[in-house]
Amino acid sequence: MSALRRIWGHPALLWACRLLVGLLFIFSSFGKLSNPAEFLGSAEQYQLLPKFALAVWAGGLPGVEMLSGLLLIFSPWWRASALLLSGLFLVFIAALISVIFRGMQIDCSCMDIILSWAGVFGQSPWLMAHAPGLAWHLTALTEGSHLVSWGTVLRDVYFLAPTLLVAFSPERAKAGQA
Amino acid sequence: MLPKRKDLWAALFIFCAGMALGLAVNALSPKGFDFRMAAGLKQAFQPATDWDDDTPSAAAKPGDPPSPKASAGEQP
Repeated sequence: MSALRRIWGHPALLWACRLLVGLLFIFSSFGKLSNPAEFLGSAEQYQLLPKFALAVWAGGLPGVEMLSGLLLIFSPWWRASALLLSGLFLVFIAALISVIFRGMQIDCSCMDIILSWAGVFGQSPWLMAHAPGLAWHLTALTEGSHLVSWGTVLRDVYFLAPTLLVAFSPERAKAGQA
Repeated sequence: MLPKRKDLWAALFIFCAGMALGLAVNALSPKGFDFRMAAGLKQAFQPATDWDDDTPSAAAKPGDPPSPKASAGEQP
């Protein structure tokens, strides 16, 4: 138990998770911030919110993603940011599951830039030659990523894990938390 | 370690600041959407009704008095 606690609270693991999740949100907010009208259209497809709430959500969410991603990496409020991002992931997962249960075939519109990079990297001959396992994993992660499916839900769960690890990390004083 | 109460307050503050940032970027961006229109606070521009059109939607209802055109023998 103490070994698990030592690994869980290890500063290197904490930093790796902060970097992974922070960069994920910073890059995924780029596309939304650069074209908010397109993001509004995508969010509208989910048919979950009334007009006013949808406009506030679609307008504000990219800012939340960008700010909390930056604070997760660069600030002493990393635990608060991780808590917020965990909540966002739970909301995304709930929205995706609701879309699946309603039998809708819609574009996920999540992590577009990152997934396109991951797809290009995963199909590069160099990676296929040197790390076929990683290449397969990246390609599988991006295949059919545009439509909402159980794979999309799993991908969010996959990224929720390091976010929760940061939010509930035993590390506090050493990582700069006030 | 469980997050403390101040972490929850900080998360709420970050959320509010992020929403404000996102809405400000949307308002300033050339590709941003019209917030009032999207929120349903403002209607899209609609041209004034043309009272002289002869489309079926403008046709008289059964109980209405005959229009000058109809009384002059014109087909709707």
